[in-house]
Amino acid sequence: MVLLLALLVGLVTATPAAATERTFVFSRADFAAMIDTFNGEVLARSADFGRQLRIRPDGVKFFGRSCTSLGDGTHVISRIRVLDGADRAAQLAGKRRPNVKLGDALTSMNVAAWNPPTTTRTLAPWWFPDTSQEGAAGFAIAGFKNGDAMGTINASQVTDVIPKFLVQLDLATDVTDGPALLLIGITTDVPPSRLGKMPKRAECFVVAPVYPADLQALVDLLARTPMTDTLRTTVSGILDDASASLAANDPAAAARYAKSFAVAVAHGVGTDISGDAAEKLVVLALLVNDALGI
Amino acid sequence: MIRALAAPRLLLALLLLIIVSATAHAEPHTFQLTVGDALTSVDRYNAFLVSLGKQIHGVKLVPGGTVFAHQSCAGLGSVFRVGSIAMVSSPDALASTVTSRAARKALDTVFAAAGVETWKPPGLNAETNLPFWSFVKTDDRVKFAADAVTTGSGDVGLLGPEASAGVLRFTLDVHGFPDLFGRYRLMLELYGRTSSQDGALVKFGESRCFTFVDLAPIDLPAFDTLIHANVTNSRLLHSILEPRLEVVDTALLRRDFVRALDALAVIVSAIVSHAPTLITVPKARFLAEAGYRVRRGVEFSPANAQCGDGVRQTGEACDGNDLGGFTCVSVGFGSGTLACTADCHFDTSQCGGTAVCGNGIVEGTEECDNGAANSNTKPDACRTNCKRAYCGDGVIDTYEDCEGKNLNGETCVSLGYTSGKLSCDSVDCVFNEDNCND
Repeated sequence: MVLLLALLVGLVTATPAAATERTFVFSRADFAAMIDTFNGEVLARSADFGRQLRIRPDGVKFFGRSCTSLGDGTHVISRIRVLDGADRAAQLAGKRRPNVKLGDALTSMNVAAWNPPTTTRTLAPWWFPDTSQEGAAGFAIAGFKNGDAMGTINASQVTDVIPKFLVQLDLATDVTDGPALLLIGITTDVPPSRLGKMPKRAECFVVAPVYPADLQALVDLLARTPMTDTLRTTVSGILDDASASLAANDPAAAARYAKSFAVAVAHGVGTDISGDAAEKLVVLALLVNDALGI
Repeated sequence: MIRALAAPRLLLALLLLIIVSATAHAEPHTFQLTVGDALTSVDRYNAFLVSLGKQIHGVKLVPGGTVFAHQSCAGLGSVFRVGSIAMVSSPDALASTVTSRAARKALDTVFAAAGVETWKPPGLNAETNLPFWSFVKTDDRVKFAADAVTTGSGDVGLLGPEASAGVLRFTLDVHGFPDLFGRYRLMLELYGRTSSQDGALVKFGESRCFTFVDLAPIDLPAFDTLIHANVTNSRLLHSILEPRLEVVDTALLRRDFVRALDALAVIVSAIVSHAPTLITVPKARFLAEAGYRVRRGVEFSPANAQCGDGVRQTGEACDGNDLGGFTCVSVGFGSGTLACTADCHFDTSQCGGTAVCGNGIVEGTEECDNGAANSNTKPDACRTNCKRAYCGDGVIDTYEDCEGKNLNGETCVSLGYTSGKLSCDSVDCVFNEDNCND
């Protein structure tokens, strides 16, 4: 009987967490910094990857894929796509057969898997949602197919921190405390030496820790933030109103509530909440406000 | 002949003076570096080395990172526990620890490409909240080290990633200018060591490297500069933020930290509540982060700060008889004897010459005092309670839209909407148009 009960409990706990749609936003600066951040991360973990990680001019070679820094001044980003799992990267990275070793390495890095459908939106000029590849949600420049470089992201855009790209994903395993490790394919171009030619193009796969920027993220952060009951009641009420507005298909009203949430928390600093705790909530609420406007 | 030569020389000297004075811009700023920042800087430095491509030669991959110019921080924080962290004043200062000329040249190339800031030694006010760590005086660095390194006491103070939140605080006379986000790129020297067995100092492995980190100052002048660079709306800037910045400044000068923190909270609230009407949301987010950074600076207290030990330290206005040179007069009173409370705040109960609002002299906690010109009806005047004109005082001031129910004759329709109910924001006295209909 005890064994049966234990088995039942085991079965219940082994059930994967319910899938949840989560929102992620990106700025040009986020994309511009992603390759270097990933290169730094894998170099620190070089012992795990053995000879499959090598230093190459201007970047690293990771399981056969070169991730070249934008810092050389010639490489620019022309396409970004969030992949639904390590197998997808293996499939896209392989020539005739999947690059299984790359897939295994990315799996070991605990990348987030997701299921369709997805939503992609962008406010960035010259950029458009690109969902042409199954299992990929992303963006490409308008001239991606004909090699027109207008709108590409270069190293100098590390200062453009305004969120302009939004991806909504149905994550296979939800995140409640911490970032989702998104697997992102970044296509870089080197402009052609002669006019009319296509740029030299390569796709590198990086794992980027990205925090969700949605009302659920605020709810989760609020739940683990110490504050007085008075403030908690006030801001929980505001979040309820925001959720109701979103359910009523009024994101503009939800955005206003997100800002009201930030204001209420900021007002409570020193009396109802510590500065450090407030900072996280205020910054996230303003990011959610931005995300709801995309 | 001598005269003929003297004129160009004088001109040259003058030119040199102009160049030197133009380039010798140095400003003291206070920074707080966390152990986490220092550890993260290693990954970033490795990626930067690789991104330099053919500009440098000899970057080698080793387990846990890279080796370049005989320097490596591979495994720092894990295999090698952090034993010291130093801010290096300029690449010239490498000479004291990097003996190979070729290695120095290679590192010079890297740090020139990174564009690190130089600063004028000595660093000031070096403090930390890390237990068993202390400031080590050197000529060209601000160096903090664990007892294990300074006194050779076993492994005492050696750090791993679990100590990421530990803070090193210091003031530097930085040359040059910050980036768009108000950050300075500072050069770091990191040193790590393997643990010695059972705390007994036997043979241990070492790791030393140079990296860089982008740090934004935590002092009020830096925040003031960021506000003036990012807030373009004159009402928000001049009427709402500048008076509060003055309050923080005065409170910090008087070491009245409670009042300074209150005013900082009001500043951040005002910035956030005025987005997106008077400031964009990304800028509000950025300035809110900067405001909370200053707050952290005010709230910081070093590991050795112990209220009641008779020594005034960061975060304490006073401690016992140590008043830090402050008197009743310097905290805004006319006369009397200043004392210290048990929780290390100033006790002004014995200060005389209590502020008299209306005598034309700013005293005590008065924000202003224009004597007979104090008024509760004139816009922008110092109020009769000696507070600056503020939202909620019943008078519509220059940068206010409204006050309470007084909407200055405006309605939703007069503002261009078709209908709805206009109201007044009680915090900042601007129109709340949420209930107006397009």
